[in-house]
Amino acid sequence: MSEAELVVDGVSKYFGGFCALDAVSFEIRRGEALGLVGPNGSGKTTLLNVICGLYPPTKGQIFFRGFRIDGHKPHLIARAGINRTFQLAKPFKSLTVRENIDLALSHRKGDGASLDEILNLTNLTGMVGLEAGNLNAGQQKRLDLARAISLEPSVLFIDELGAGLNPVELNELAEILRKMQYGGRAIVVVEHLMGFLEKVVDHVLVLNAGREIFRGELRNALNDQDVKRVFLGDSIGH
Amino acid sequence: MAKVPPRRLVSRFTRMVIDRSISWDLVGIVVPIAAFGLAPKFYSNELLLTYMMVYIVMAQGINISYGFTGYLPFGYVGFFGAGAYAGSLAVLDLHVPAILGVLIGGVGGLLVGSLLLPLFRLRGAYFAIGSLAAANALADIISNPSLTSITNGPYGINLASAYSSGEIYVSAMVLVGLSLAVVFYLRHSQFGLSLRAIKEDEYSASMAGVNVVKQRSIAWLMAATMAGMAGSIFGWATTVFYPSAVFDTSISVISIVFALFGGTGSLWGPTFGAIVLYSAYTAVGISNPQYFQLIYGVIIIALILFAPKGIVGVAKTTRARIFTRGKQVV
Repeated sequence: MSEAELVVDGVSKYFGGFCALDAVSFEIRRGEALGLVGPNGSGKTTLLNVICGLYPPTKGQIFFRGFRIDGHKPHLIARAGINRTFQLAKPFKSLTVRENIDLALSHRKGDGASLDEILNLTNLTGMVGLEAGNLNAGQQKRLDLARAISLEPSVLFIDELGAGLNPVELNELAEILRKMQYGGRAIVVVEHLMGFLEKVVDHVLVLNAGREIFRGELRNALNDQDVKRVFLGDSIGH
Repeated sequence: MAKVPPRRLVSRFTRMVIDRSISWDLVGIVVPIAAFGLAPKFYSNELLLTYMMVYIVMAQGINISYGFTGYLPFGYVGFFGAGAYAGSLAVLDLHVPAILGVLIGGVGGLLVGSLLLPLFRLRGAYFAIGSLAAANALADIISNPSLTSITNGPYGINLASAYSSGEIYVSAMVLVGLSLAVVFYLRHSQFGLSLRAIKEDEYSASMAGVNVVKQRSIAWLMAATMAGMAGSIFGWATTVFYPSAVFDTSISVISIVFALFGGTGSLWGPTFGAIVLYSAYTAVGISNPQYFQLIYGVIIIALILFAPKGIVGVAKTTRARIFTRGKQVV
C-alpha cells in the first residue's frame, strides 16, 4: 500500500478552556476519498482550519508526505499541496473568474492543469470575464473549488460544498469530485448530506464534541448506535 | 533579465492599448502630469498647485493602503511628518541638495513604516487608532525640547536657504507621476491582484498561495515611502514649518476624504478627489472661511450616504446601468 499523503496524529485544539478537538487521528492516501461527518459544533471545520494552518494545534502533530507541517503558515501549506474549499464559498468577489483562478495559478509550483482545463472541469467555461460577485451560489462554490485545485493539491478538503445546492448541482459536484479522485487526489469531504456523501466517499470519520466516535465504511456508520444517537437523539439511538 | 524580442514588445504594447482599462489608466497618468505641466501658464499660484500635487500623492498612498489591502491608516500623517523632517534635516545638517532630501524623506517614511509593521496585528478601527497613536507619539518625540539639538524641537525648521520654486514644482510633478505609476502597476499586476484578494479575505488569499504578511507589508512600505517624499516636498515648499504643521491629523483625514471621494482601488479616483476637493476647499477657505468646516462635514456625510464607492464607483454603476439596459444580467 502507498505511503500516506497526510497523517494527522493525536491533534487537539483548545480555545481557552474549550476543547474543540480532542486527540483526533487519521491518515489518507492518494486516490482515497474520506468523509468527515458530525453534527454542528463537532469540530470538523476546526480540524480543517488546524490542518490548513489557520490555527496551530494545541497538541499533536500533522505530517504531509513525511514532513511535519503543523504550525506552518497557510500559504506554505497551500503551495506544498494541501488545499480546501470553504463552508461559505469565499471567491474574491471583486475579481473576475479568470483573475480568481490566475491568482492561484501564479503561486503554483510546477506543471498542472491549465486555466481552460480547470474552467472545463468546474463547469465555469464561458464565465471567465464575469466578476465573482455576480455569480450565483452554486457557481461561486465551483469557483471556490477551481481556486483550490489550481494549486494542484494532492490533498483536498471540501467543506460542505453541497449545502444549499439543488439536486442537479449536487450531481454535477459529485461528478467533479469523482474525476479528481480518479486523478490521484486524496479528498476529504465534510458534509451533512448523506445522499451526496454516498456518491463520493466509501469511508467516514465521525466526530462528536471534538472526539472521534466512529471510523469505517459509510454503510456501517449508518447502523452504528453511537452515530445514530449523535445524529438522531437518545430515544432513537437506543 | 531575459531580452524581449521587439515584435513581442510591440504586440504587448498593442494589447495594452486595446485593453480598455489599461489604456484608460495610462490616460490617467498622462493627463494629470500634462495638466500640471501646463497649469502655471494659466494660474500663477505655483505653491497652491504644489500642495495639490502633494495631496494627490497622499490620496494615492491611502489608495494603496486602504484601496488595495483594506487597512485605513488614520496615522498616515506620521510618514508625512517623518519625511518632512528627514528630508529637511538632511538638507540642513548634511548639506545634501534639496532634491536628494526628497529621496531621504522617502527613506524616513520607509523607516517609520518598517517600525510600525507590528500594527498589522491589529484590525479595523483598532488598526486606525493604533496608527494614529503612533503618529502622535512620533510628533511628540520630534517636538520634544530635549531633542532640540537634533530636530530643533518645538522651534521648527527653516529651509529658506534651499527654496527654489521651479525645482519644488518639478519634483512634485515627478512624485505625482511616480505615485500614479505605482498604482498603475498595482492595478495591472499579479502583485496587485494578490493585494485585492488580501483585502477581501486574508485567509482565503493565503489558500490561493498568497504570502499575506509579505505582500501587505510591501504595499504598506510603498505607501509610507510615498508619504515621506510628499512630506519632504511639502516642507521644502512651505520653507518654515513646525512639528504641529507636518504632524497635523487633519492631513491624514483630508487625504482619506480625497481618496474616498474619488473612489479607492482605482487610479483616477484619488487624483480626481484630490483635485476637485482641494480646489473646493481652497475656494471656500478664501471666500467663506466661516463655512469651511460645515461644508467639509456635509461632504463627508454625503459621501458615506450616497457614494460609498466614490465618484468612480458612481460612474461605473451608471455606465453599467446604461449599457445593460434591456439586456439580461447574469
